[in-house]
Amino acid sequence: MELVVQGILLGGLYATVALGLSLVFGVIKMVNLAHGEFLVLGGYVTSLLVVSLGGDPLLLAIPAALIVGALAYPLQRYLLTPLMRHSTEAPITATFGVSVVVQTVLLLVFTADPRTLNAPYAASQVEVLGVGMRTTLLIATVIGVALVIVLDLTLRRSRFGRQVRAAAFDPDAAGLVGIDLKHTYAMVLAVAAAVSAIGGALIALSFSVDPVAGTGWLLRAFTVVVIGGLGSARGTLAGGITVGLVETIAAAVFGAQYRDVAVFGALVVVLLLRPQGLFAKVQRA
Amino acid sequence: MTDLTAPRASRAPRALARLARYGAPLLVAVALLASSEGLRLATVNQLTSLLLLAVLAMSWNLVSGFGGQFSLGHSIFVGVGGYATAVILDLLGLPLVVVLVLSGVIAALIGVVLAYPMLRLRGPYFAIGTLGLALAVQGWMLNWDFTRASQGYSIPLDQSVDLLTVMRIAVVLALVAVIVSQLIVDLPLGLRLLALRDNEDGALALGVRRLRTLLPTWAISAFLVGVMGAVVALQNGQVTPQSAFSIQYTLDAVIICVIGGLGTLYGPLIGAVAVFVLRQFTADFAGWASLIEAIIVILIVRFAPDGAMGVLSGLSRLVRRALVRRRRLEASSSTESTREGVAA
Amino acid sequence: MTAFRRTVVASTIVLALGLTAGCSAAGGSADDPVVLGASLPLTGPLQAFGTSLEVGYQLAVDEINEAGGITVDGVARELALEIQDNASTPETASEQARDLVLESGAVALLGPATPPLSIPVSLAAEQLKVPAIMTITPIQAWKGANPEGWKYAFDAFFDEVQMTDTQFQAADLVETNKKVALFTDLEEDGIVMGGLWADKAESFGYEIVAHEEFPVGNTNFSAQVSEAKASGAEVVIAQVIPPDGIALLREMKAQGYQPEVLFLEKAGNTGGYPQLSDGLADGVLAANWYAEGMGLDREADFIADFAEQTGGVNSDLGTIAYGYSIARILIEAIESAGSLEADAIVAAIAATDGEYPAGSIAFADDHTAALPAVQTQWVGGDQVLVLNAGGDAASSIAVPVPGLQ
Repeated sequence: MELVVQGILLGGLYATVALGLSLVFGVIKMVNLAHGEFLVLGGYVTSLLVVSLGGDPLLLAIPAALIVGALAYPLQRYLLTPLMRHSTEAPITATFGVSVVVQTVLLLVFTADPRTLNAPYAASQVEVLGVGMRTTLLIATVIGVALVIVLDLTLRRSRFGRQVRAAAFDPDAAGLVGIDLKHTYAMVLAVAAAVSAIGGALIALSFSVDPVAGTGWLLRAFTVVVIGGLGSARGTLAGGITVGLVETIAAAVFGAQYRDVAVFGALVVVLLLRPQGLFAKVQRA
Repeated sequence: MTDLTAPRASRAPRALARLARYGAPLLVAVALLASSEGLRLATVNQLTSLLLLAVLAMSWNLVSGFGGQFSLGHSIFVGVGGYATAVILDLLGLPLVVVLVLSGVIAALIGVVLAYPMLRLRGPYFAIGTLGLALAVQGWMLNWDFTRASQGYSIPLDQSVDLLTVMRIAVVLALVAVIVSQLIVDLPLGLRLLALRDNEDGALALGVRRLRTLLPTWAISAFLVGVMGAVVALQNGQVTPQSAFSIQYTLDAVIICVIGGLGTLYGPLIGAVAVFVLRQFTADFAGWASLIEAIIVILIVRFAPDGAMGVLSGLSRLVRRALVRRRRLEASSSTESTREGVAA
Repeated sequence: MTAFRRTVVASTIVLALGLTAGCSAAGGSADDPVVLGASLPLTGPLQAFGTSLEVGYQLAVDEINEAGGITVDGVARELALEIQDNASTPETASEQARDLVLESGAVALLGPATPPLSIPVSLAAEQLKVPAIMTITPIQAWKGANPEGWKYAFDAFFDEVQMTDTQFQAADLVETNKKVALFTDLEEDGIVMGGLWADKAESFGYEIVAHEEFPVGNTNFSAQVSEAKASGAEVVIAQVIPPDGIALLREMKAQGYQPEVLFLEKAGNTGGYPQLSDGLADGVLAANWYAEGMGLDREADFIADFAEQTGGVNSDLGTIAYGYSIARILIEAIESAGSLEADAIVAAIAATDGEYPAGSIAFADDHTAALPAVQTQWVGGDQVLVLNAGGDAASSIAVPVPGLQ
């Protein structure tokens, strides 16, 4: 029981961390290897804001998200979208380049020392269903679920959401009916980056971030997205919880040293058996 | 790159060109081997590293450049080759050549076993899947007692190989890699690969068998990278899970191929030279080297998506066009002058 | 461009590179300085070690040059220190070690810190038959990487066997229930030391009630900490990297787990760790190789000169002293050999016997010099000596861990 609650709450954090990746893949059909760096940047920018302005890290994660989102918009518009016409590898390679640039710059500016965000609730515990749990993980789960609902509603109900779905379904037709694809794609990456930045702040609040932490989180996010089904917000939540459970239970059964083997093994197995994800109804990609 | 503007090229020069394509690398290799005694040890060592980078990139290019399967799992083969060599030398002490070939074969076998399921995945899924596999394998190697887990495996000092011999092996390996790449391009296998990459549905409709085309290519690539990993182990005298299975090898291959030209025959060679020289110059502050490399990669992907080879052939096309235009101008002006002469 | 021309271009490039590399000269005349080489982790996760070692190496070289250089074959020559940055990666360290010797003409190598980097550099030294001295590299791990025995490489640092005594000795200084929870990661030293602690506990009268193992880069310690807490251990010994250490501390704090003493090895040797962890690491203990009050050679000078730069008296300051010491040993060995012959220098290093800022150093037949590990506790920005080299109390330990209260 304890394991289940822990796994689910960890899954909430994982869903927040993976949401942006899922959105980008679902709409733009692009693998974003710089996703981990959006997370890490979110942690660093929030930390800089806390140091310079002072205040609650969770509140300051909102302006941090806007900043990271604003950085991502031109990245998609002027670098990645033009590349998508050339080949599918070109944008992957470019995001890989971006990820190395961000890592190296962070390393040169802030050194490799880990950074944390501090708040009264950063190292405290609450009771959930009789099981003691980290407050930050509970907060992360609440935020994750909220983001999933907001994103899901936005995609379904709003004008922007309709444009995004049209662009995802058939880019050529969407272009014909007057949807500005370049702007839509750039907005999607910006939203994804902003959501990821909040995820990064939650990571820094629960654990810590350092310049090269992005790679590890990118892989976690991949696993979540692959298991949950690419491009579906609700699938991502289900995927996050699944990965959280697999990880917690594998660590308890085989020992924590085999945790990574279990998680990446699960990634490969799911890819082979159900490439569309465990929770996706229709294959869209 | 078919040369439409050169109709004069008849069969004889084409055969000559083919001879040159196979002969020139052979000549370079023979020249290097012959002169290797006279080279400074520093040069020997640097040449080894450069050639190994080139082999890695060329092998990755077979699968990912020509085959269009963006593999992020090639570090597995570097590690398998390195560990196979260290373990075989330590436990069995077979002759070096046998050990090297055996390491390559083991890497190829593991490659085939992994490729069977992996090749069912397409596009980005293949990239993610191979990356996940590479990390799962590394995680497992950190725990496997047979390979001394995270402690790593040292090549026994009495089995160690001097740098000159290592370089000669690297030269031969690079020659094999170049010849094999050219053979694949020249043979029907290469045509089928390119057809699959450029238009899978069309290729399948024409009767190209996907797995039958990709699997041998993948095995050859894994073999070459496995031997490359074995030579790296010989050069370093030790393998550890963190270094031999490092994702950095895959990333190096990507960087080199993008800079040189993905899916071209000589791009990986040019890219390897460029990256190697850059790293030599930035040895005092390696942190900057990766920054510079990454920026170059972004710029190339954005502005010269075919890499250095693309730039080179673009330049030569420009020059040729300019020449043709001048010849035409000259020709037309001379006809005009004759006309004028007639009119006069 | 035809295939033929392309081939010619490609092969010319390869040949040209080979030739240019071959043409660059290697200095060797009596007017040129004597070059010592070091491939250091100046960027990346081990940056703190690399930058501190560089300061120590440079200090030793500068001192000798100010005193007129060293005498080789009867001629006084200047010393030069050639440093390259390996970005904390073993492959690059190996590559650069060979390059420093072959290309830059280094007559000897100084080590890069930690087994993953020091072992490849030592192997390169053996391969090229040049003398090399390592430090900040626990000697059992270093010895284990070459079962046949090192011939050209040396290592001066603490011995894991003695170092893993200090946690129990320090825990003996305070009142506990003698139950121990171990947290060890899967890096080589984590496995080695985890095994040593598990083996030794009984002989010190302690009981291991929980042993948690996890991969490097672990963030989620909730299950492990609740297990350790449930086992009632009042002594926690952990071997983790700095970010994992912070995750562990946060989880312990969150679950309200307050052991009497907490040893945070490896992570705890990061300069300014209490600030990095928002004060959670305040009062954390860590084995150390340097502290005020050890009575070492020039201790007061080093503290006065470098404490500000390293942010307090901590392991980084110790790393400077150790780097200085092995550089001095190498220089003195070259001087006493009176030549640049590798075998003569190796013999002179092996004959070293003297007091250095790192302690008294003499190499055993297996080329290792074991220096004593002590225990220190984080108080503000300093690591304060609590257990001295003899295994006796130096000052009182604050319990339970102040940062977790």
